[in-house]
Amino acid sequence: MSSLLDRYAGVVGERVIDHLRQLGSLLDGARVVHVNSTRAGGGVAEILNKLIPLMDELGLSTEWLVVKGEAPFYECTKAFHNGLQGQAVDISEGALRAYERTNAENADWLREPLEEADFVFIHDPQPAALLRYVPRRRGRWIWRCHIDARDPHPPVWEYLRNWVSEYEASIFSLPEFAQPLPHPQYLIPPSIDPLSEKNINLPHEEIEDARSRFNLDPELPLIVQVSRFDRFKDPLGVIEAYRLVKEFTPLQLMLVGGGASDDPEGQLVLDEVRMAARNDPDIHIHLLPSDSHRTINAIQRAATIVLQKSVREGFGLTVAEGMWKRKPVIGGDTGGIRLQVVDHHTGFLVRTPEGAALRIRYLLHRRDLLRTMGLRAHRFVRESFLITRHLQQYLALMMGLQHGNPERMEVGLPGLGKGKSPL
Amino acid sequence: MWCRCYELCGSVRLFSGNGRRRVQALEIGGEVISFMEIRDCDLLVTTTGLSAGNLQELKDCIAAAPTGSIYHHFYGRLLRPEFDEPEYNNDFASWVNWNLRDKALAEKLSMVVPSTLKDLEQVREKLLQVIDERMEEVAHPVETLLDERFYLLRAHMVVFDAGLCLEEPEDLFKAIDSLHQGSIYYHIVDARHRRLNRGNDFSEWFRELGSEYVHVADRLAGLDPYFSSVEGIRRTLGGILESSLPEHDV
Repeated sequence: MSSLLDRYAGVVGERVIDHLRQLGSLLDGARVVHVNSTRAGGGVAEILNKLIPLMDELGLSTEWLVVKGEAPFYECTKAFHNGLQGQAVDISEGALRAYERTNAENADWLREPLEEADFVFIHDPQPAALLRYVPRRRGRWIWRCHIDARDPHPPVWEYLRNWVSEYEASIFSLPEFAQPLPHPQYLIPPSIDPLSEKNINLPHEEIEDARSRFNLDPELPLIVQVSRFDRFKDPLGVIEAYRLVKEFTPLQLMLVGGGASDDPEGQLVLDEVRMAARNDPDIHIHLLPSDSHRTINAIQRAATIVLQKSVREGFGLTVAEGMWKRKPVIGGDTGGIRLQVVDHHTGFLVRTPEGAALRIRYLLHRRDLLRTMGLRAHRFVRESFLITRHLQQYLALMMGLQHGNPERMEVGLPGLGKGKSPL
Repeated sequence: MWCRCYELCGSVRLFSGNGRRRVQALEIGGEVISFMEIRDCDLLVTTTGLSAGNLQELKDCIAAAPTGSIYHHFYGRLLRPEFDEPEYNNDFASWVNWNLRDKALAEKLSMVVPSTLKDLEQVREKLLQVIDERMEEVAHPVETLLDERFYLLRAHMVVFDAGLCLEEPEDLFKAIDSLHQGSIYYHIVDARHRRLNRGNDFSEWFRELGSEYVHVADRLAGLDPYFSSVEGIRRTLGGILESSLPEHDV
């Protein structure tokens, strides 16, 4: 049976896997612990699910720990999340004490692996306070912030900064998300997994089956946006763009999201979206369960063009997902979308429904370009946004911290980290 | 990987005088043969905590930035996926053009060519001088939007063994098309700075191969990556070897 790394080599090439092995051999036996607050659901869990077996296969000894808490703890960390994203939240002293108490309790029952680990990756604010409750730690602790913290609510950041400034390093997805901290801040964008249900190649029949299940017309161009029903994702702007195009070209639009049922704001937006669609038979709006990865995969593959017309976006991995399926993406000119959509090369960056409509018309008119852009988009994701790159950067960071964060590290040969940089 | 190359060459390693390990010599039966190990590289990026939204701030950031950051904003683009030839050859010029809409300054910043200056401190001084001159000309300084600020970054280079060892001049000629971009960057672009603008790893290797190859070494040493892309460097490298290697090596 082929190893996990061999399977990835089939997608990303031997060179990438060889680099991972070179880095892995120098970290052989290192004990690595990842800590977050959920084992299922959400991008962090999705990434850790694959990152951990890959690290293990490279010879590291990796453990994934999940903190547990009661409702007041989660209410507090939800407020942290919103506050980091800029919302003016008010968090009571009681909620902060619940946060600290929960971290202290978790430190008690997770103490042994946390004390003995060589590297501890703490994901997001939920377990951020653990560090101080593990005073006999021997490893290097890294705080990984997955949140768009470009403009945090000051009291929230002030409080969290107090905990995270003691870490040895932190990781942000984009430079604009980084905050002043007294340690190195690495920039590592998130990634998609090409072998997951959401991104793996699908048989043609499965894509056609999805088309028929959702009553999509195989003869009409299909524009797809996959995202929560959230104002920041601008679903109403997408419908407006669709209508502007439809005046000239027949087409169909699919808006697919999940999780709106337990989110009052999401339900409100969904109602507005349905109202805006006004029973147009060519607008398909679907709420899917959160585990519909393969269905989403089929829908993205059935699309002619993928849209992610957000007006604010942390990173927007649905962009990379669409590009991986060889679709040009028309994305909002904001946040992490700018890192993925290289304007006029892997898609188009737009600021208005009119801009989106213009680019949809352009691509539908220029099918040759649509295909070329799709191929370029796929190549770009393969080079920049796959989990193997993510893993390589984590390993390089660990090596860097072990050797004093040098500007140059040479692996695969003796004298690691001793090469003097001319810079 | 180390072992792979070691086994391929099958003898003791003797390091060349510069103390680095790209060009090495191998002793077989009393004869010293120079060979070259090919490396590959990737960058891991960190923040500097410096960012600019207008010309004054850009000037302050450049003055305060570590030289590694200035280097990254001149050459880091060469390791990013490329889609076309860039309009300007360093990140400072590109940002000034696209975000401050100052084409005149972008043109002047783009003509700050590191290979014509002694070191990165001189590059910094030149950038500051050009910005100073422009600030005296501009009556109404432009401020960018919050999400269009310039973030000064620095790169940490991770050097890998590419698993390839060149023993004969023709080996390089044959390998050019298949060398990964990271290898070309490392042996040409990065090498210029490791060697303080004196040639690159390939020119050094040819020089060690003997007097027959000095003219190839001289031509390779003149290869300035600043106005090029990695693919452009690859083409130039191939052209130089094709036109200057003795016939039996091509």
